[in-house]
Amino acid sequence: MSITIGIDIGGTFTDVVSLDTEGNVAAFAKVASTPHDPGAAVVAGVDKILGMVGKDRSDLERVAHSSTVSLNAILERKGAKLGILCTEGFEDILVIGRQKRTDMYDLFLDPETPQFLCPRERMYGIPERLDSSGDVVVDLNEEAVVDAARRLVDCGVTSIAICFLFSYLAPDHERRARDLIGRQYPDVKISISSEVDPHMREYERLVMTAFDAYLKPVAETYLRNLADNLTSESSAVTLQIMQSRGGIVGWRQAAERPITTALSGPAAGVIGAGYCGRGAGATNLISVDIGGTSCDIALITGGKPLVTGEGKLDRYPLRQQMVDVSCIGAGGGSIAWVDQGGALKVGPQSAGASPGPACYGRGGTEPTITDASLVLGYLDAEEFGWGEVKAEPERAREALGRLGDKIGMDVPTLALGMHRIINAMMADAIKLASVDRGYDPRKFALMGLGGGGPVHAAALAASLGCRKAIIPPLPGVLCANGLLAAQIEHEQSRTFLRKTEHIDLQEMEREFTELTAVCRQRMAGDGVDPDAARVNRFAYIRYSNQSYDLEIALDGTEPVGATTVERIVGDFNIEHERLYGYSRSNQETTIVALGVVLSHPVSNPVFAYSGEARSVDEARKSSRMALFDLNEGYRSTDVYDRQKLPVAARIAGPAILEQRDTTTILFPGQHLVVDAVGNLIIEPSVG
Amino acid sequence: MLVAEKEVASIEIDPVTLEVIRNRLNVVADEMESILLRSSFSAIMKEALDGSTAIFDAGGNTIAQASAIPVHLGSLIPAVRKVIELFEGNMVEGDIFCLNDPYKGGTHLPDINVICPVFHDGVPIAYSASIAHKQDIGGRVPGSTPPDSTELFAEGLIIPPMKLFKAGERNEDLFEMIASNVRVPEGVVGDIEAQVACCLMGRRRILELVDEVGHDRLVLGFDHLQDHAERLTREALAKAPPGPFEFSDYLDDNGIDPHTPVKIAVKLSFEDGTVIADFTGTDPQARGALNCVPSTTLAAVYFAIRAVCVPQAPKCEGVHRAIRTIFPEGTIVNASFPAPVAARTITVRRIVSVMMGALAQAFPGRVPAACDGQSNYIYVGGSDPKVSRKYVSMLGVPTSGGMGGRPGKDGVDVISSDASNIVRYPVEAFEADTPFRVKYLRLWQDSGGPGRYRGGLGYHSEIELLRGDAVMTHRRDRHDFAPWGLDGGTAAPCCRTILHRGNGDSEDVPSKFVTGIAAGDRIEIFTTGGGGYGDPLQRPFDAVLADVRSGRVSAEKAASDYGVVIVDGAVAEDASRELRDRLSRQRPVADHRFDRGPEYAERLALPRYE
Repeated sequence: MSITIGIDIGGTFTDVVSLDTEGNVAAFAKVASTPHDPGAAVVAGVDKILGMVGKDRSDLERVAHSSTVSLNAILERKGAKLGILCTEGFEDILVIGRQKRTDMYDLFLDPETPQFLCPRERMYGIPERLDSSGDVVVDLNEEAVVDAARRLVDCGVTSIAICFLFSYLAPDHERRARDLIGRQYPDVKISISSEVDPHMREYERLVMTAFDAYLKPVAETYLRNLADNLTSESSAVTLQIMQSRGGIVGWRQAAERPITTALSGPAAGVIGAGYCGRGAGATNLISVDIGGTSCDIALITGGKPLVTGEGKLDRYPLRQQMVDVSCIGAGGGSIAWVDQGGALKVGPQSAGASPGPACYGRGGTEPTITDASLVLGYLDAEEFGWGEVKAEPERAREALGRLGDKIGMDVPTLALGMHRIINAMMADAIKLASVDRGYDPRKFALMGLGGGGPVHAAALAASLGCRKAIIPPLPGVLCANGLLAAQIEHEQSRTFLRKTEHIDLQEMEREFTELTAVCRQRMAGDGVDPDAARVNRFAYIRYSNQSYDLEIALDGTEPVGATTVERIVGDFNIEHERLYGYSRSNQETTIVALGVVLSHPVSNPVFAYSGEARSVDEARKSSRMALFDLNEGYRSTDVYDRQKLPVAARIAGPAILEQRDTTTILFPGQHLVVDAVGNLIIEPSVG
Repeated sequence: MLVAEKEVASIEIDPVTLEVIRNRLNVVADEMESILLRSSFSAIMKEALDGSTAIFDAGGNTIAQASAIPVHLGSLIPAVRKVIELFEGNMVEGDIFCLNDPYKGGTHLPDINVICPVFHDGVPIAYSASIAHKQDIGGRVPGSTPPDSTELFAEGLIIPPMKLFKAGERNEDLFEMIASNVRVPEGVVGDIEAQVACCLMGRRRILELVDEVGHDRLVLGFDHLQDHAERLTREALAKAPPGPFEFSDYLDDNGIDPHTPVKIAVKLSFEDGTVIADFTGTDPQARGALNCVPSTTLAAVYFAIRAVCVPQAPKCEGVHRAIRTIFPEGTIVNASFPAPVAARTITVRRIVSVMMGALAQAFPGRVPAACDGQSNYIYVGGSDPKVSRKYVSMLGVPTSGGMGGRPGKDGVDVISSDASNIVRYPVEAFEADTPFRVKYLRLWQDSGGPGRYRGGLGYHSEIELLRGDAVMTHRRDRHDFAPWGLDGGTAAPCCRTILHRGNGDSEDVPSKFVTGIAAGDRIEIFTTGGGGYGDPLQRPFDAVLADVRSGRVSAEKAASDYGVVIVDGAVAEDASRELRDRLSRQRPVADHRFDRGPEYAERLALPRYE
């Protein structure tokens, strides 16, 4: 019988979810991550879950995986030994970058460009030049290409990035250079900018291309080994990888374009949140994933995650489609402190896992949000982080006491204050992430994820005016679910750069057809009949003098017709008005790029839920004193075993709901119900 | 106002609410900035991000500012105060003001300020404001920043503080007036509209905050935030010895007459956590457009003190309360109406380098050697015969050179330092927008000042005009006075620009220069790096070898500046030690705190403009 598995690598644990033939969730498991050899945990996780459902490797049909190997190679600077070929005269574009610095007042900053990718002595200029129309000014000097490649290979380079000026208009020189090197040195990996990121602005395109080449050998080795390890003698398993934009692709294609999977993990989480949201009947969703040191925020509208084309990787610009995740330094480990001017601050410093919050008793002495939660009675000292840590409330109180003395606040007041500050910070960040993108958070449901999300979700939803807060059954393992719920997706875009009034409709249709053909080919490579895939066309458009464009979706696969451009411009004006508060319908517009996305659904996992308790009372395990409002003081609050709550159970706040990996706090005046698939649906309005 | 103060005195504010307010205000300023930059029209805004946003209290004190560009830090203060001064009692909800008159709250004419009062219960409780550099504001020269005007009136359209919107009603007359006076009306009007949009967003957010914490508590919170910032600043300044610490540096010229050095001098004295920056001794205002009005000079002073002493302090008025300034009237740091000011950005750079030189003495080990110290704003304007379109554009090369070497670290190559922080115009965008071609753009070998920690490198580039004629406004500095090395480090070389005419003639042009160019003319640009920090003879062999391998330092300079002999790609250690011995014996034993480069004495002796 065939088994499908989703497997996500986290910092501490690797999560595994399996589906049976009918698409029902068969099992869920956690194994320790193996950072030095991440594939080992994947294989261990697969074997563990196969054991749990009584199957073996030969039953494996599909494994969907969020690979961290690309991201880690970048963060740890462990990619390939790289060489770069540029247009002669422009060898220093990677060093020069865009010259702007991120922190204006830091006199001791490090370079803002990813110079670690390739030292200056391995960047070669090649005589060749196109003009801004894509016409050849200087023909490609093939000898120079071969000569540069030879020198690079001689010094041990295993991967080469090629980025020529204006190649997005005419890729011929880059392709010829690649073919020349490929013939001579078939083992050398090559990435060319006209394929990786065929768009204007030489620095950003080079960064993308260099990252891609830097990752190629690493990604390919990892994925090939993994595919080999998972494949048994009797069956071939389909190994699929999550891309940064939230779709999955076959591992071979991921290995060929490794930069597209650099943010695999965060994307899986957001897809998982979207999937859970659908289960709870919410298609407009703000997912808030709160861990020890940071809080990740993403928006899902109309069931689809918001995707951006202007993200960052590490601290470098990454111009590719990726799920739009905003991150702030606020989490359970965030430390409260008083600055030299006497102001109370929370974060961004975090106690992390080591020494951890003061209550861990591992040497941390500064008060963290987790310590405050303990003091407030929100968390149970006995059951902490999978029961592996026993918290010491006394240490938490001492840490808060020391800080409180400095600013004349007693411990409970400070603890509540710390929560209020961090909640406000997160609410501000959520507002920025939503309003800045033209969305009103009040029209969204807020989903609390990670170890900390459920602690803060109800308070955040109340302060933002969200319609409801949702806590999924397993808030810590959404990534693995997301992998199983994701579609196979192939995306390709290309610079077009035409004023809308001068568009040749046939040319536009031809471009779309070509882009579609590229995606169809990749779809077929993943074993999907391209005709069965859904095609979406996009235009990237702006007012002619602007520099940032907006994505406008076209109607299905309908060929470009007389009214197409008019519709695009109309939709653009509406979108511009929504985002920026104004539009100018008589202003000249330019379509900067065209894009195509082909998608094909794979499976739709079904999560069944049945709490074993027959009534709410039966799920109640204890009560303890907790503080929600200073005026009311500590009050006895019911504590429930969340996993036992029956479907349709209704609870009035205040209440504390515990499960193995997190705790949900319901504030006085709030209500929650348990829905049919086990989500907690919180009505946040207080009083 | 007295009544309001009395009212707020009776309520209290806790540290938690205060922190919530502080975070929110910063987010609002950032949100405004994001709207401003993303929805703007002109290249200078969209590619160079030359705009800033801020929130002010009812008294015109900054409470939060978004950090786009340091030269704007504090620049909005006089604008907001001028609006309050002129319109208090005569403004209503829905009014939005704008101005650019440097002598009535502005900085230089291309910077248009847009200011929106935030009314609550019929009185203004705050202002949301933005400042943004326009591609053109009319006047003699495309780009409106020629260095060689002799009075303000030649520099473009002067807008005194006026209502851009009256009670929510768009002042079409004023928009029309502006559009009729500039070379690229859509861009300028589009950018002003982006500024209005961002100010309205700020207003909305501030009113939400009023709803959340209450009017009186918010106003009280504003005061507390200022006090807090002042305390932080005083704490940091109290660590300096009293001084005084003096430093001076020079501009190449007055903007019109080449090689006529202009001195900028400062004396810093510290007392009780405050600092006095006294610019007495600075030269009289310049004949050309390099003059600063006080708001501009203040921005430079604030930047330097913040960067060295309190980088983390909130961007609000409280910081400034610990800083006192003396800007003698009629000097280049406090020019009198109607002195021209268009090209004052260069002067800002020099004021910062003068402040840094003085601060390096007050806070040893915390200040880098001088950066390139110029802003390479070369504007071109003309008509492209191929597409029959007019254009005004910056040249598509970096505006910045290298950063100075720092205690513990080399300087960064080609990066915006000190008061400048704009984004490089991509070559591909520049060539698509104009009839120019960039022939090459490379690091300039040996342009980083030698030091134990080397200065970052500048660049070398050449640009050709392919079609038609154009007017070029070349304005920068450091052609005559090199970026200084610090604590034993050596100065970086001077900048240089060579104009190659299509007919084969070539000339070295001075740092400020306006000329016509024709198809086939080429502009060759050398933009310098930063000065070195610490003794170059102490730089480890490995570091020098790496520099030679990467091409940042030539083998010749490795020997002559660093005393490192490289043979067959490796360091000849014995020969190098010997050479270092010899070089250190030959070196004059002098006060080596600042090295000004070999040309300094000769340049200093140049005649001043009378």
